[in-house]
Order: sequence, then C-alpha cells, then structure tokens
Amino acid sequence: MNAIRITGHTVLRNVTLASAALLLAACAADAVKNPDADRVRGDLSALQSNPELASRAPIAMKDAEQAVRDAEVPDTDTALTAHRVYIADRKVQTAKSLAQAQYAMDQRQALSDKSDQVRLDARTHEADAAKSNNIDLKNKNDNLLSELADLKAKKTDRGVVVTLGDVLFSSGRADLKAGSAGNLDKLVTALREAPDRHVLIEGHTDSIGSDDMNLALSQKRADAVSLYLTGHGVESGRIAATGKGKAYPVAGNETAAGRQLNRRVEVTIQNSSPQVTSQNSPQ
Amino acid sequence: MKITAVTNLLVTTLGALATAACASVPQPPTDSFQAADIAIANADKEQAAEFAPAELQSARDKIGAARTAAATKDVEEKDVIQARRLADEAHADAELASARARDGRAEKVNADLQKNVDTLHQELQRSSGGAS
Repeated sequence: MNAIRITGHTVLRNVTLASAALLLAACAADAVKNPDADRVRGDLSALQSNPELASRAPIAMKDAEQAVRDAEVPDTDTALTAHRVYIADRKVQTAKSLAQAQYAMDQRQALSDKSDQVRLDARTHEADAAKSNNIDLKNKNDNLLSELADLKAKKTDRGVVVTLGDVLFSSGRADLKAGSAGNLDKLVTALREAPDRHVLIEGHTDSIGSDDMNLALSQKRADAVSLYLTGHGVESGRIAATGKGKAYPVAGNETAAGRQLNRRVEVTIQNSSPQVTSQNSPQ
Repeated sequence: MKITAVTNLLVTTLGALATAACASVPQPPTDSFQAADIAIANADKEQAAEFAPAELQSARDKIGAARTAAATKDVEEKDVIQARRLADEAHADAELASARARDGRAEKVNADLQKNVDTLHQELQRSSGGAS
C-alpha cells in the first residue's frame, strides 16, 4: 500500500543507501585482522593493565591509544598499514618508557628516605663507637698514669703529661745527669706499652739569660730526652722535640724555687693523634 | 562591485597559480621534517646517545632517507608521501629515544641510591659486628 506513494526520488535514495550498505559489507569482508596491529594492541593492553605504570604517563598513553586505533583501520595500502603499525608500536613503547621513568622518580623519595635512615643509623653507631673509644682511651690513660705515678704524670685534654724537673740537668747544661736514667726508663717502659701513642717533648727554662740562649738550651734539653728515648727503642717517628725557652713559666721567676720549677722538660704522651702538635699555653 | 571584481580576479589568479605549482612540483613535507628535527634535538639533550643509541640512530637514518626521497629528480607525489612517512617514523623514533633515555637516567639514579644504601648498610653491619 505504501509503495504506491513512493516517489521516484525516494526510490533513488533507497538504492543509494543499499549500495552503500553493500560497499560497507564488502569493506568489512576485506578487513582481515592485521596480526601486527594485534600485537601492538596487546602491548598497549598489557601496559594499561599494569597497576604500576597505567596511570603514570597519561598523555603519551592517550597518544598511543589513538595510534593503535589508526593502525587497526584496515587499508588495502599495505605500506600505509605497516607505517601506521610502526608509529603505533613506537608510541606504545614511548608511553611505557615514560611511565617507567615516572615510576622510578616516584620511587626515589622512598629510596632517599631509606638512605637517610641508614645514614642516621651509621652516625648513631659512630657516636656509640666513639663513646666506647673514649672509655677505652680513658682506661689506657689510667694505665699510663699508674705506670708513671712516680713521675707525677698529669692527665690533660691532649694526653698524659710528664714533667721532668731540672734535676735531670746540671745548670746551663743539656746533657742528662747520670742519676736521671731511672725516671726516663719508666717513661720508656710506658711508651713501649702504648706503641700507638705519639710523644711531644718540650723544653722550658727560667727567665735568666737571653731569649736566644734560653731557646737554644731548651731545645737541646728536649733533644737530649728525645735522644735517650730513641736510644732505648722508642721509634723516632713517634717523637717531636721542641724548645720553648722561657715563654711558658709554671711559677714565678723571682725566687730560686720558682725558677727551679720553670727549668723543666714536659713530655706529653698524646691521645693517639697522628700528628704531633705543640702546646702554646702553660700547663 | 569594483572591489568584488578585483578580489575575484585575485583569488582566481592565486588559485590558478597554486594549482599550477602543485601540478608541476610536489612540495616536500617540511612540517614533518621540522618536527622530526626538533624531536631528534630533544633526544640528544636527553642523552639518548648514551641510553638509547639504536633508536636515535634509526631516527637519524630515517630523516636522512626522508630528505633524500623528497629531493629525488622528477619528484612525484608518491615520493612526497614516502618522505612524510619516513619523517614521521623518524619523529616517533626520536621520541622513543628521549623516553628511553629519561627512563635510563632515572633508573640509574635510583640504582646509585640503592647501591649507597646497600654499602652503608653493609658497613654498618660490619662495624657493629666488629665492635660487639
């Protein structure tokens, strides 16, 4: 019934539509699945379902999605299809690398925190070790002190200090008196038992005489003690000897008793310091 | 009226000229060339030579081939199409090179950090073992 009212124009249009449908069907039939495009689609799907990477490079991922869709469009031009597959594959790989890079950077904070924690542990440990080393040092110093008790050794920040009075020397002379060997031998014994310690020998004088003369005399006295120690088996590399002259008195120079106290040699058994440093202030 | 006439003439002439130009010599795809060149320069900056040398080389080879294709004697439309595809592939190669270089650098930094942590950890273990 309705067919009667169909105009010529409508017929033409219907024919056109039918033809189009036929053409489309033809295309669909031609659309053999492209295995290369399938492979790239598979790579992209794997990336999209990777929880660590899926959301870390959104723009590149969208680009890749579009490129894969382009590659999936069937075309009789095989060169064009191959080109599109190539581009899609590169874009998927690019998205993957960018996501991995982002993942690595996101991990870095955690790694950095871990590094800080280990560093802190190390420092705490070092501090503990230093503390126990200090205790160790204190014990060693105490041993030295007891060994050198007869020499009236004193404990200072720099180490154990033994003051050898002028009884070692005749007035104005730098050679050791015969009777002084006993005191020095105690020092030698102590030094042999603490082989890691360095020794600083400093000569001092009273204020009588010129500066030059006092400096020279104090140096000679320090050298004499040094020579005695090396002569008795203390390695010369552990010893530094220096003359201080009259600059560092420990008592007044007005009285004979004071001057006698000032004429002395101080031997510092240092606190395991590799370099031998001189003091610049009186004890 | 006068203006319209002149405009019409101008448009017609230009159109004719443009058509003539296209018909005689197909134009090289300079936009694709430029985009590829920029992407390759970026890849260089990202240290792709160290972290993705194969991809970077592929990009360079392809942009070279693209320019050659577009510069052949008696260049035809299909040569231009081929040149554009090669340039676009070079572009994609270069972007992949950049991405891989960025990833490579990021992972290297992490590996160094991890190594530091491990070394410190070992030292700590050793020294506390020695102290006890």
